[in-house]
Amino acid sequence: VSLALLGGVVLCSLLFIVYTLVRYFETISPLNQAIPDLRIATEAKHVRLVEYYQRIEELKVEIPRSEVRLGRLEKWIELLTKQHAGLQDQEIEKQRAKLEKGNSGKTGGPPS
Amino acid sequence: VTYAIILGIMAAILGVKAYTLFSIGHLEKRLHDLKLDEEDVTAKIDALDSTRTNLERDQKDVLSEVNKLDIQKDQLVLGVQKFGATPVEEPSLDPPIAAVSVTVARSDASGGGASLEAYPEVPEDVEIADEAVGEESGEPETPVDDAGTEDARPHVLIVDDNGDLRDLLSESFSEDYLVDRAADGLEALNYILKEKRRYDAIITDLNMPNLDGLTFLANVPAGMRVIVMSAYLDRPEFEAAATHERVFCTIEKPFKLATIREAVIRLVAENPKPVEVEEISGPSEQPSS
Repeated sequence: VSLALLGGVVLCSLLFIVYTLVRYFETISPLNQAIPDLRIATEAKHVRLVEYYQRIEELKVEIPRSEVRLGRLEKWIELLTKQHAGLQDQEIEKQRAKLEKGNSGKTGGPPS
Repeated sequence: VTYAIILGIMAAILGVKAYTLFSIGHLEKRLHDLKLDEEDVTAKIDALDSTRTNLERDQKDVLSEVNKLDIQKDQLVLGVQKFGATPVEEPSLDPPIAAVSVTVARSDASGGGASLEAYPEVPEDVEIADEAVGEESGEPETPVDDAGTEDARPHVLIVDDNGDLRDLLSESFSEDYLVDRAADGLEALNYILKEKRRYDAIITDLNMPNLDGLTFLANVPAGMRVIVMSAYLDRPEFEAAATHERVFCTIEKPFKLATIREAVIRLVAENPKPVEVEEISGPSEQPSS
């Protein structure tokens, strides 16, 4: 009886151990696969994070520089506009003087 | 004896079960931690992405405004030239472009990437200062030498056709180094060969008008070492430059200021005092590729 009992227990135990091990490997197999995948994904995201960070740093420098450039251009345009207007006025004056000179030449009187 | 064997078998079964449970629990915990990490990085990326998008939009707006004004300026210049007059020069720097100072405190540019701590948030201490800074407020392209007096600071030459980058680097180095700036290889060689200036470190781009970085490298006299920066690592000229004997190291664009500062510090520390340039010479050697 004892031997029969022992045999039954050993058999059941072996079956249980086999079952446990099968379940164990079934469970850890996807986990073992998921971990490296997740690690690679996380590292790729780290790289992207660094790229974004660098781009933001660049932009934080580039934007104020562009704004300074904008300010300088505005100032330059202001100066050029003034110069242009002054030249136009001069040209008009010149034309007017020429016209008046011509008129006074025609009438024979002294230029006004 | 039978009972003892049975108890032993039961203990073994319990041991196996406990081990499998512990092992699975451990793996699940690791997976959970990694997922948390990933979510954290994703959240950071999202935050940075929105900041980046906003900044890029701002930059686009400013650049489009600059382009418009550029066109307007060109029209005005043409208008003035029609009258036979010389258009007024671009006003002096007020506020000076070179005065935009940038302080970047973070220095772990080459973090490994495995831990989240290696990539902290964008620091708040990136400062943009608009005040004029001493000698930079004059002519931007003239060397920052102090009125003929001998300065003990190491002498650095920055060669790049990108004016903004030149200004940025110059601003970054001007506190600790005497900085000269050149817009291309020709201007740089002019400093070195004609004006016989000696440099403890030269930083150069490769793609430049008039005289490119590779030809410039071929003319750099012995005793001067060069840090090459380029955005095109896959191009053959970069490979040629990387193996050139005058080249101290290469840096990929875009880079962090801390990276290039570190390179210059190392170069100045390692580089022996540059020799006096004796005469103006032609290409001293061909770059090895």
